[in-house]
Amino acid sequence: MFIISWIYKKIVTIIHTIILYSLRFGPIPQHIAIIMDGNRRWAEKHHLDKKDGHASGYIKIEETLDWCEKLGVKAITVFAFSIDNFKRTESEVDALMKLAEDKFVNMLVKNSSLLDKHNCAVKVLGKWELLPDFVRNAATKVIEYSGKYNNMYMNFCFPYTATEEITQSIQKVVLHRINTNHDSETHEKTSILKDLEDNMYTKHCPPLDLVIRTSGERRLSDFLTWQSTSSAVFSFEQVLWPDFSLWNLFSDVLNYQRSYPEIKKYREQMKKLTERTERIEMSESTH
Amino acid sequence: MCTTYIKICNNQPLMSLLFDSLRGLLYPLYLVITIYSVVQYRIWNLVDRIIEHFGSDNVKRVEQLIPNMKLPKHIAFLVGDIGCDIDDFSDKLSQIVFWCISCHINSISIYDCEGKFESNIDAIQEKLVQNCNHSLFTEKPQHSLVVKISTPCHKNTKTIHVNKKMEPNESGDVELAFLSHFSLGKPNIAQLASRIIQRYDGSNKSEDQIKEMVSEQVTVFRHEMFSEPNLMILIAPIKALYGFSPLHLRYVEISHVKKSLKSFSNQDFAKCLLQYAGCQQRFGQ
Repeated sequence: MFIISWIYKKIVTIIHTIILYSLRFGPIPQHIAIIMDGNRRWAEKHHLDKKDGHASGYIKIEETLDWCEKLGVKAITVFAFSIDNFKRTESEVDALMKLAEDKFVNMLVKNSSLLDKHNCAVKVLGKWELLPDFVRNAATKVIEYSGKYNNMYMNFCFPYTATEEITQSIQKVVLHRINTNHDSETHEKTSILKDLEDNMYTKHCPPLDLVIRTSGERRLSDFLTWQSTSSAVFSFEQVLWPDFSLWNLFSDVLNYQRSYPEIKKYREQMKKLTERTERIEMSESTH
Repeated sequence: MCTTYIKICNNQPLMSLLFDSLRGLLYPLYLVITIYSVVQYRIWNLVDRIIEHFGSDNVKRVEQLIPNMKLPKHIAFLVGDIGCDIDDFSDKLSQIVFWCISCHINSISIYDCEGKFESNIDAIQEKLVQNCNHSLFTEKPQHSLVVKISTPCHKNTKTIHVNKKMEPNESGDVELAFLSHFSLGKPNIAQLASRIIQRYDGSNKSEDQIKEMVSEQVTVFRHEMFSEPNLMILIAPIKALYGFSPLHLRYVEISHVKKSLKSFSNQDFAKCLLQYAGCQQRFGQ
C-alpha cells in the first residue's frame, strides 16, 4: 500500500511539473501576491481549532512556493498578518505568533529547509515594532540565513498594512529631504514619486503582476495597494486558502496569459502617466 | 534501481534539464491547453449571456429587496477603457448617476485614469439635465433634487437641479465627483509629501515629531480629501485599478464588469449591488 501510494504521489508530482513547465511558454507573472483568506472558515468546516486552520494555511504556502518556483515566478508576497488582526482575541493572536516563530525556526534546519530546496530568500515586511521579541529574533535569523539566496523571494507581510507602508515611505522621504536641507542639486535628480517607490517594502522585488485572494471575498483589505494600482491584475478565487490547489494557480496564471495583450496595454498606459507625473514634478521643482 | 530513481526525482537541477530537453514535446501540450482555455472561456461567456437574457431580472430583484438591502453609501465607478466619444459616454454616465440615485445612493464618484471625464464636465452636466427622468426602476421620479458636481483637481463645484421622487427622511443633495489619476492617485500622494516638506518651518523638531506630523497629514488626506468608497464597480477589460488612489482602497468591495462603458447595463449595475449586499466585512477581526 505504501509503495502504491508513493508511486501515485510521484506520478501526480510529475504531471504537476509537466503542467507547470508547459505554462512557461506563455508570459509568467514575475511577482505574485496572495491574500490567504479562509483559514478559520476552513477549520470551522472541518471541526478543528482555528490554530489548526492557520497551520494548514502554512502548509499550503510551502506547496505554493514549490509550484511558483517551477513556474519561474521570482517573488511571492503573502499577507500573513494584518496590523488590524491584533483586534482578534488574545489567544488567537498568541497562537499565530507562536506558529510564526515555529515556522521561522523550521526554516533554519539545514539541508531539509524550504529555503535551501528553492534557493529562496525570505523577507518579513511590516511594522516590526508590534511583534513580540521572540518572533522578531526568529525572523531576523531567517532573513540573515537566507540572505545568500537569490533565485526567488518569499515575502511575509507580518504585521502589515498598505497604509502603514505608504506612511513610513512618506516619513522617510520627508525626513531625508528635510535633513539634507532641500539641496536642490541632489533633489533635481530624483522625483518624490520615485523616492516614495524606492522606500516601499517590496522594492527588492519585480513589479507586482498578479494578486490572488481566496475565499471569495473581493477586496484588498489594505494589502499592497501602492503596488497594485499601477501594474497588477486581480484574481478572486472562491476556494478557502487551505484548499487552494495547483489547478487554482494554473487557472489564475492561464487567465493572466490570456489577458496579457490588454495587461501590456494597461501597463504602458500607466508607465506614460507616471513619466508625465515625474516630468511635471521635476519642471515644477526647477521653477 | 529504486534508490537511483528516487535520487533522480529529488534532484531538481536534473529535472529542470530533463524538462528543458523535452520542450519540443511540451510546446504542443501548451498550445492544446491555451486553445482549450480560450474555447472554454468563450463558451462560458456565451452561457452567461444566455442566462442573463433568459434568467432572472436583477433589476426587479433589487427593486423588491431595496428596503432591506445592504447598500453602499458611497459608490465609485472606475472606467478602464472609455472606448466611445464624448456624447456617448456623457449619456451613459448620466444614466449611471440616475440608477444610483434611484437606489438612494447619494455619494457617487466616477474615475478614469486620464481625466477625460474631468475635462468634459459641461457635456456630462448637459446630459444629466436632459436625462433627469431616467431611473433604474419602472417608476419615474417626480420631485426635485440637487446634484453637486465636483472635481478635486480643479476644485470646481457645479450644482444642478434634477427630478427625483424624495423619500420622507431623505437628504436632497447628491454628491457627484469626477476623478482621475492626477487628481486622486500617486501624484497626489507625492504632492502631499512635497507640501509637508515645503511647510516645514526649519524648527528643531525631533524625528519622532516629524513622523507624527506626517502620520497626521496622511490621516487628514485619507479622510478629508476624498472618502473611501464602499463599493467600486470596475468597468474595464481587465481586473486592474488603473492608478486609483492607494490610500482609498482599504476595505473597498470590488465588482468587475468586463464590458465597455457603452454596453454597461442596468442589469450589470443591479448584479453588482446584489453582490455587495451579500458580502461580509470583518475589518481584520
